[in-house]
Amino acid sequence: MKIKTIITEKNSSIPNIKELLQFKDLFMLLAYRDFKVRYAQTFLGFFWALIQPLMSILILIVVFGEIANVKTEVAFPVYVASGMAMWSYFSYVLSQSGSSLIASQQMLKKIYFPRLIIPLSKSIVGFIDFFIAFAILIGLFIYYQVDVSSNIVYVPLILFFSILASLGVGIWFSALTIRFRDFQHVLPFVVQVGLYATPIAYPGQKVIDSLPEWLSYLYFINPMAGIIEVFRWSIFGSAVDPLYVSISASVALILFITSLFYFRKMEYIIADLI
Amino acid sequence: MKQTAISIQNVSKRYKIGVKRSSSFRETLGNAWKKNAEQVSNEFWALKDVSFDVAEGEIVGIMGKNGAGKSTILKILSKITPLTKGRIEIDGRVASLLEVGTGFHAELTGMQNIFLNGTILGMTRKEIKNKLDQIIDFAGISQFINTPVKHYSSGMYVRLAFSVAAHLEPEILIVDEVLAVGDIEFQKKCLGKMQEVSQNSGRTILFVSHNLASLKSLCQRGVVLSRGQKVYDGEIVDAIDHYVGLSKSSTEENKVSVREAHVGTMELEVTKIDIGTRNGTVSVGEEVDFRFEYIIHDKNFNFNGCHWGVQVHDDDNNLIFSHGNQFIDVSFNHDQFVEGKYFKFSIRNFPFKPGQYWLSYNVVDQNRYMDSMDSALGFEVHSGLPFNYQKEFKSGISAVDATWEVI
Repeated sequence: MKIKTIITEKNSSIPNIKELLQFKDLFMLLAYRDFKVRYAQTFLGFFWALIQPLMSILILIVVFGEIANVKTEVAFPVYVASGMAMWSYFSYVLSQSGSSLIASQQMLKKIYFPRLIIPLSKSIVGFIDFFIAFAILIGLFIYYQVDVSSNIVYVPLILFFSILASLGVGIWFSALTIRFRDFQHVLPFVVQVGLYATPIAYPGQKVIDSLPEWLSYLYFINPMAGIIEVFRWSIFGSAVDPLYVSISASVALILFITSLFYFRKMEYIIADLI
Repeated sequence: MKQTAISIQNVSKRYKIGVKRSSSFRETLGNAWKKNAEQVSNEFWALKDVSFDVAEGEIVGIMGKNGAGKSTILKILSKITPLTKGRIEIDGRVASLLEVGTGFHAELTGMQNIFLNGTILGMTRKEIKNKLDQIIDFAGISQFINTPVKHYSSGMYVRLAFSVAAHLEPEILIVDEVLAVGDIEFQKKCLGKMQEVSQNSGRTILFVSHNLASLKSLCQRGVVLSRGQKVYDGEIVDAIDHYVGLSKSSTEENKVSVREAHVGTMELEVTKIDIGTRNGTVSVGEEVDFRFEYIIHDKNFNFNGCHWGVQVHDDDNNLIFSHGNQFIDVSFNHDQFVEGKYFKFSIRNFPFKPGQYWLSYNVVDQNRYMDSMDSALGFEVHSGLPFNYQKEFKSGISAVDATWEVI
């Protein structure tokens, strides 16, 4: 059976999932490439993946735990590490996928494949960061003798939503950056501000308690806010407000789906714009 | 009658030039206010109403000068860029090779790059695994296959990259000027491989090249494009004649073509370039001069210190040489810029091998182009006797001014 291709000036606006599946080998190989070259030629190599989250956790403990004296229901280091595990995944995938089209423009000008493969493939390598932060977290669980909640069975579902959130925002950024280079500068800014606008080193409940209601809603439009809260609920059973978590989860889902449509719209003209 | 593999129907492609391609957010916001105000965008039709069919198993060469639309049509067929008008039907799996080694990563080993590049070109991992030994053999780099490609010589790199491409098995193969890289020996091997495959499996090939010899040996049919339009379609030998004729006629006219607009601030505009030689044609070793005729648009402009520059490219768009009056410490003052006078650039002894060449020029004030044009004039150079040669200069890129003696 021969493949028939018809090219006209009309382009479908529906994301082509079937075509994406045909390119799953490319998806895996691009992820493998990123994995292989991430720490290539660095002296400390893989240790960088350990040093970065460790230092961030340490600083947050000092600033928020010691200086600002934030109180949490479990030992503060456990609290921060659990937030960082999710955040480091999100921030890595977001910054990588957000800049991915610009970074591979040479390739985009020379060959066709579903362009979505490029930002999507970044979601895999981010798991290095997640697992390392998670390993630190397990260490702290043992050291502080924190009990593991039975809700831990929900972790895969929560991870799924954090993939949606990181890719949703990342794909939006990658397509917007092609259209408006301004977003190249917005991206690192979002990651930086997000570190403080997400309940990583303080409880989300504190935000709900101390801010007016409308501001709390605004706060939980940040998809990672609710996801990190519910992640803590799943691993050590901290209290969580279902309303706010569902706001975050819906935002993650909506961002992901709309990103696919916007990306589709930009996909055809990428080579003419870069 | 064979089945049609590719049917290109009235395809046009418009680029917007003059506007920044990737605009800033502020501009878009700004433009939203004056939506109906004048559209400043310049349109440029890279392809205009091009139609032709390619039958299954046919090998078609596409020819044309730089900017004729060859690459654009390949990019549309490869789905890299969308068409503006028209319709294309393609029957069969397509692989396009607009560059060798797309996606190669310097830190990865040869083996890893084979898989990466292969999947980018549309092969599955399984297909690559099956052909892995053949690919490595063909490239002839088996002992370095587990070395990162950053340590490869450029020759090895190209051989590996091309080897992956040569083992693609699509029904339709689209090839841009990729054979221009790599050594001659390997080029021949690749051409052989491509020919062999197309004869055995009836593969359809669309092939763009400036290399007339390889077009002649590989293709049966040629399509000639000029300024975005199809101007000839027929037997490869006739198509090549037509293409060469196109270049010749532009030499005979010896005029600045209006193909591409002048670029510059236009205080002065070159209106004509004449080639001057002893007998009308340019030969190796001959004295050649280029006379620039111009008009002055801004009578009040002070032309003191303005200078002239030329670049000559060969037909593969390699820069052969550039020259300017500043190179040899010649300067022109304001009084010498008078309409009706010429600026003349002379080469005493044209040393480069016979072939097609393109002259670009620029007239510069400080660091600002007043007028410039790429490939403004094409000229053909015939064989001849350069310097003190007694025999015709045949092999190599350039003749040299040399002596032999006993000392």
